[in-house]
Amino acid sequence: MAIYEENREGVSGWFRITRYSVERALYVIQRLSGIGIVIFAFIHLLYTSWHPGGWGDVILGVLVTYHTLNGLRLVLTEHGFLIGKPTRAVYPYRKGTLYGSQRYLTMAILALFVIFVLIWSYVALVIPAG
Amino acid sequence: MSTDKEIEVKFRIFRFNPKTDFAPRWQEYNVKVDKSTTVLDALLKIKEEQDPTLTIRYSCRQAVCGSCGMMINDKQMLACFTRVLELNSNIIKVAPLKNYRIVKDLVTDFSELFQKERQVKPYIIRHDFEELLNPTGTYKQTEEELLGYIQFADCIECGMCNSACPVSATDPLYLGPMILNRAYRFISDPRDLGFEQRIEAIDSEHGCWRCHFAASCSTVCPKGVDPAKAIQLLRRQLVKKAVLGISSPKKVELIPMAHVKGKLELPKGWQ
Ligand code: SF4
Ligand code: SF4
Ligand code: FES
Repeated sequence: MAIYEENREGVSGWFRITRYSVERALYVIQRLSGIGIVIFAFIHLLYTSWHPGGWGDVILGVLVTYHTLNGLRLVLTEHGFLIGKPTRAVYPYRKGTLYGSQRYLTMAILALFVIFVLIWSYVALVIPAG
Repeated sequence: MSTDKEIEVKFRIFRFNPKTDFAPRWQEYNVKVDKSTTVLDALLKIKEEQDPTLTIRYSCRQAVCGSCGMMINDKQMLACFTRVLELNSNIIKVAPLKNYRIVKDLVTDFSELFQKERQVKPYIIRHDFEELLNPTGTYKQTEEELLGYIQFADCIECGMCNSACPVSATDPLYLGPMILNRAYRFISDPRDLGFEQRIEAIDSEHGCWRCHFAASCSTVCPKGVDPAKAIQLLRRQLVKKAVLGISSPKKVELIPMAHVKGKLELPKGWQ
């Protein structure tokens, strides 16, 4: 059958994250958060005064914070910054995109993400209630 | 692995002949392996001793030809470069590379891949035809210039990076890391003058802007090539040259060599 012969993963391929590096997982979350933000933006355009409120606000904050911070990481790396200089490939291979500065940047971004999300959740949940 | 003893391992192998079968099936074989047995050795043993109909492709058996890439326990690996016991698993699942058309069993069809590769002109482009036809010397390269591309020149075209890429999973026309890496390998070569000729292919809808830097290509590459790095550097070059208008013209010095001489005979019909 053609579909078996083709052997293409399709959208399910985006979600194959377990056997690859952490960047693959970050990529899927970037896609999903992007889709989430677009859906929110559509509703927001239709009903400009609407916002999810409470935990909905927290989720929206998580999506936007993640998408922005990881997006900044991608802007840097995708223009060739912090991914290491080309060198000789010597076994055991250490690939610049998977070690060193890029990974430190990833950690910094994730740490910032946690901090921002905590602050935002406080703003969204605790302040309106108090 | 401390033991030299043979251990029996179960192989679950993907079997499918698109010409006769409706759907793929999984077939199991038990094989005795020791610490030095590679997945390719085990597959050949199965073919020799248990089932001659099993179809595999390989050539060099030492990770230089790039023929034996397959999904081993769901990840792209070279069968000849992977020891069975290093997988630390009692069941070894072997399937053809994802995102390529299946020819039979574990053999995938790379013809579309190599056809696409032509778009990026994977060879050194120069305009000094007189020198190319009647060489008088050799082009000088500094160590620094060599380091700029040597890592990307190590690619053995096993196609595993293209198979692992999440973009290839949904876009069959995406050039993919192998081809973009190839393009960057020549663009960053100090002797090459073909950047403009390659822009159309790489600066396109299915070119380097499709990449999302998931770096799975670099994760699976068995030769330390780091195609994800090549793609990001390619974008940097494009932004620099095509968007910001910064160009750094290449000048290579020709070192005359007395022993390099002789006229190249042109093949018939070449102009
Ligand atoms: S870095 Fe780009 S080319 Fe490599 S796997 Fe990720 S999306 Fe594909
Ligand atoms: S870049 Fe690496 S994984 Fe990709 S084709 Fe070349 S050797 Fe194979
Ligand atoms: S047989 Fe050549 S790379 Fe495995």
